[in-house]
Amino acid sequence: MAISLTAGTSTASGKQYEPILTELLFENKTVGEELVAFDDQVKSSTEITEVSTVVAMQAYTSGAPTSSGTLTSTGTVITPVKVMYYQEFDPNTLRASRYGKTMKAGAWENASTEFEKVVLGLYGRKISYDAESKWWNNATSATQTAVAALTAGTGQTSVGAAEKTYVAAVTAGQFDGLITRLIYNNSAVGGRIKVAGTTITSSNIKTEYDKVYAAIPAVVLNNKAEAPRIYAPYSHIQFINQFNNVATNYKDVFIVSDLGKPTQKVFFYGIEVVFVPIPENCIVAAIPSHLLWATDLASDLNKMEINKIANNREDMFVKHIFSIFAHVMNQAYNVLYLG
Amino acid sequence: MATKNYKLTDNCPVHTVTSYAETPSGLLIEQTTKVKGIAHHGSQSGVITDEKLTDDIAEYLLDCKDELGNRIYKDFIVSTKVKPVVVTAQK
Repeated sequence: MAISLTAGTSTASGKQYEPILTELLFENKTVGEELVAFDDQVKSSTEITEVSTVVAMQAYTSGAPTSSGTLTSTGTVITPVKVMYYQEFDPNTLRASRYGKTMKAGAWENASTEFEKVVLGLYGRKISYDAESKWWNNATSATQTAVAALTAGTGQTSVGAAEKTYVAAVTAGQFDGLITRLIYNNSAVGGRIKVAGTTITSSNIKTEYDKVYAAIPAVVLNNKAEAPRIYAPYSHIQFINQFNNVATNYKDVFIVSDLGKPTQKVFFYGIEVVFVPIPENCIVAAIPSHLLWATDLASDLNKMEINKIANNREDMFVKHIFSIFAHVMNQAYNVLYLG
Repeated sequence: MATKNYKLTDNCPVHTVTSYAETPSGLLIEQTTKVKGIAHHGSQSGVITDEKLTDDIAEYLLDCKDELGNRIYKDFIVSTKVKPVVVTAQK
């Protein structure tokens, strides 16, 4: 794609307002704040092992005892999907714009430090956010076909109508995102704790969060090694603040500290609520280490290559390459609310 | 393919979605297109277009209500079921 440049009436010879206004983007907090677990040494096939046991107390016998109980170790092989972003552009088209001022003198020189810093910097941040968004929201066309063929039902082992609607709506991508993996993985309906949802508003948000809280297994809430988190869409921060601002509501249901500041934190019954790009009317409650972002090297996400397309050419390319995969562990302990 | 008993109406909003397109060289590039449909789970989670609208999805969406109890998508989805003709026997 070429550079789309719309110069104002004042070109390189005129005066420009110093700051360049860029698109506003959400930060990739899933990576930046490590809201889920990361495994960044996954080059190719890697086995994730989950262990469970069943113990069975039995009556004592001095004779031959009967073996009872189970010792189970389940391995799942995952391979991160390698993806790339690639775009070509001709820096010569910037010569007559404000970016010409930051090019070195000489007809050979057409690299603008300002363009690289502002426009390509924004491009890099947008890729980071896109990766985060797709890690949560994505589905391959094969998974979409498989889920569409399932009969919707309200039972725990059935895919819900809301879940079918979500998977069908997602724009088909290169891998299954986390929400899709909660619904369907390993060629079967996911083992998540399914909570039937509805359209969440500022009026019913407490009622709906109560349903999620009640569905969290007690062993998860009492887990001393790692506290669970509630993952919610960005819109919920508005609903939560609106709910808290109704004088007749019990004010301490959602505890919001540092309201409006970058350090703002939200808690519901002591569980931290974090806001990520998941679907509307969706809430996930899980221990962070159960949600795995597998990749080859975490810093790949920040690596951008800008170079000439060929030695005898002046036009350039910008390229990102990284690998990404979403995996859910200990499925039976993770709550998925979807309405 | 199963018979579809519902379709989207012309009242449905149009959304801009990003998807991948394959170039002649095999490279996948992102493209944005405008599609008509229902983005029930928000723009971050895609759009239910006419092609994706199965009967169970349509019936689920038709049941979705706002906080006042109004059906959110009643103007966006219409049934195409043929209504049975009632014939009254003449005396």
